[in-house]
This record gives sequence, structure tokens and C-alpha cells, in this order.
Amino acid sequence: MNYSTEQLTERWEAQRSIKNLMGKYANCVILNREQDIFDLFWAKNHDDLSLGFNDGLYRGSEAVKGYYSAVRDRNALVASLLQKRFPDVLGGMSEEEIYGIGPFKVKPLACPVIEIAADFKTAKGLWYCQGAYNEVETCGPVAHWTWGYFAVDFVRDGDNWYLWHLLYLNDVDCLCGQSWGKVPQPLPDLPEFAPLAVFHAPAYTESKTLRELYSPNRPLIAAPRFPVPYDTFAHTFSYGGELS
Amino acid sequence: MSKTYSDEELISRVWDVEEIKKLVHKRVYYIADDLRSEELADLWVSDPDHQKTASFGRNWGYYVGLDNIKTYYTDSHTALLELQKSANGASALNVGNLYAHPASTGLVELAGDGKTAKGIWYCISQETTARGDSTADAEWMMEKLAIDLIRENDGWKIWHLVIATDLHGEAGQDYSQQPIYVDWDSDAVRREFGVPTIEKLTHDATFNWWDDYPFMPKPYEAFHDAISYGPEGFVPPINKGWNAKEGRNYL
Repeated sequence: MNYSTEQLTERWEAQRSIKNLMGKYANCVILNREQDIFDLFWAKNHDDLSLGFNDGLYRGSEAVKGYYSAVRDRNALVASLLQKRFPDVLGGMSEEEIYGIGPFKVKPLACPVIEIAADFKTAKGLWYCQGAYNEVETCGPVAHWTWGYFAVDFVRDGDNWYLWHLLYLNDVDCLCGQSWGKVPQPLPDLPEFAPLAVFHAPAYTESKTLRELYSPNRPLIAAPRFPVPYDTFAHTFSYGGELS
Repeated sequence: MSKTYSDEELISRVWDVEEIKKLVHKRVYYIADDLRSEELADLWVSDPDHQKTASFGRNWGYYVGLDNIKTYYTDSHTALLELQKSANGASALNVGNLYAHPASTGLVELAGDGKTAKGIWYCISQETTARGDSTADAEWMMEKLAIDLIRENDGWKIWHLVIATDLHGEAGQDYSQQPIYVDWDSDAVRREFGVPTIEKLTHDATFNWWDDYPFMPKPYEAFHDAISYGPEGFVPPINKGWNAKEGRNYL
């Protein structure tokens, strides 16, 4: 499609906004600000929001919001356990002051392929994410490599773009220092972090395998499709969980 | 470069750079899906004259001409996959394999005449190859990716491509314990590359020599052989190490 100079400029600015939106999302994850993500970045005027991971989807704004609330609750639990583990330094601090210590989740987003609909109402993007998360688990602090994809549908509201459907699908999730091609060697549990064993994320709205994690016996699975130019959303595919 | 462009030319050039980056990013997903034939068909040059001069370079030389590139990049690769499938008793090609060569840190220079472009990226990559015992060899690969692109009737296409591997090593192993002198006869990446059209050591990874190949692109008006990422643009480094300054091709 041929666009005028003004239209091209507008579309370039939209593309920049979308990249910035995902950059802000990744930075909120790094800063453990999951409690802010829904209000800041998700579309409010759509009831068909979806957030998907390898083994299921949250559908609808309440379910999506519930996921981020659960991450916030887990962050708070981790902080309280670390406070007990390090009373000399953390013992006198309030819940608010210690919130965020522990988890360090790095999701750098690379290789964007973004398409903005010709009607300028929606957009789609695919990113490769060679990430890591350093979490506190029942074995204590531990680091994981993650190799995967962010596949996102965006919707425009006024002058701004918002998340509509987001899939975060990994191929690899393995302990740093170990090979993802070998049998994982789990670390022994520590009693001071045992309360984490009973903490679970909310049940998915839809439990299904969107992407099987890598194993040496897994067939090669195609990456999520990258977006292609489209005129209106009804004429393209969705990252709402149907296509992975 | 102090060339002045109109607003229309400027936004067109900005958009061109976006399209070039998008093309290189799409290649990442083709690689992940091991769609090498499709990559050559969709992302590489289709003009017969461009196909004749297309090249695919690595540390040990260049395949020149799209037919030779295809023989290496697609046919030999498929033959190796067939051998792996047979040895592993696998039900299909690529069972247990995983490919990821994400390109980041893009630096793109669009020619002043708008007909070609040059770009360089860095890739922290991995390739995982299944063995027959329910384990796999997972290999980190650190590599520079340099590409000459040319505008064809249906958009930007890959013309010359160089992947210069700085190091590779098995996941979970200590890289510092690798032998200093790589036995190229047994080096997996070298063996996979085979015998190219033009054999030439282009990037010496021993000691991590600062040999600046492939070199960073700099602003240019029109493409010429001396700045090519094809074999005609390769000049052996005069100096290595500190005396190389910013590299023989950069200044």
C-alpha cells in the first residue's frame, strides 16, 4: 500500500509507540511493578483481553488483572521470607519498604516485526526474547535462562496503543549453569523458603498447551507467526491463543 | 555525510531502515523454524544478476552465487539432518533440535542513492542438536551478522551476508576452560560450513583477535566493491590488537 509522507510519518510514530510500550512493559517486569501493568498498558474498553503462557490463557480483564495481582502477592511473600532470612538488615523495615526484593526478571525484547493495520485501529508485533529470571524458589535464590517469544495484538484508543492479546511463550526455561539439552539437576529445597511451595498462580481460564517447552525429544515447533500487512483485524490472525 | 534531503525523502529513508530491520528480524524466525529454502526464496535477492554475486560468508570464506549458497545452506544442511534422523532413530527431521539466532544492536546505513544498505548486528545465539540418547548438545554461539541489502522491485533483499563467529561453547560448560587453539578439522561450526567457493580466513577467533571483520558500516553514497560484505570487500587486517586502532576499515 502506498502512503503519503504524512501517513508514513504517522505510521512510523505508531510503530515507535508500540516499541516503547513493550519497552515499558519489560521495565515494569524488571522492577517487579506487576501491580501497575494492567492499569498502565492493557486496553480498558475491550472485554476480550487475553494473556497466554506455555500452558494456558487468562481471558477477560478480571482474569488478566488477577494474574498480575498474584505476581504482586508472590513478590510480597518472597520479600517477607527474605526479611526473616536476613533480620539484621531487613528486620525493621515495613512491608512496603521491602516489597520487590528478591525477584529479578529480565525480558529484553529483540527482533520486532510489527505491522499496523491499514485502518490504523490495531497492530500486531512479534519479538524474540532471550531472557532470564532470577527468582526465589523453594530452593532459595536461583537463576533461569529463558528463550522465547512475545506475540502481541495491540488496539488503539485515542492517541495511544494498548495491549489486547499477549502471548509469552518460551522454548527454554532452564537453570543457568546447566545445559537445556541434558537432564536438569534440581537444587535441594531449603526450609526457610518452604511457604513458596503452597503458592500458586490463579487457575487459567483456559488450560491448554500453547507451546511445549523444549526437550531433546520434542519435534521442532514453529515460532509464533510473524505478522503480515493487513487492512483490518478481521482479515488477519489473532494472538489470542488460537494459533500457537 | 552532509547531504540534504526533503521531508519526503527523509521519511522515506527512515521507513526504508525500518523495513530493512524488519527483514533481518524475519530471518530470525525463519531460522527458528529451520525454513532455510524459504528464507532464500523470500528474503534473498531474486534478480538473476544479484543472485550471481550473492554471497554467504563465515570465518573461513564465502559461498558465492545463490546456487552455491543453496547447496551449502539448504542441501548440505538437509543431508546432515537426514543422517541425524537416521542415527537417532527419530520419527522426523529436527526432532530435539532448536535454533535461535536473535539479532540485536542493529546498525544500518542506507546509501545516499537509496539503492543499497549495509547493516551489522550482534547475535547471542544457540543451536541445540539432539543425540540419540534423549539428551542434546546445546551450544552457545556468539556471532556478528553483517549484511549488504539491495532494493529490488518487491522490496529490500539480502545480497551479501557474513556471520563471523567469535566463540561457541556447550551450555553449562566453562568457556574459559576451552582450548586456546581450536582444532578446525573437528570444530563443529567449521565442519558444518564445509568447503566454500572461496576459502579464506576472514575472522580469526583465536585469542579473540581484534581483527574488525566484518567491519562496521559507515555512511556512503553508492555501493562499490571495496565496502562489500562479499569477498571482493575483504582486506586482510594489517594489524591486530591495539595497533588496529578502530580497525583498518572503520576510519
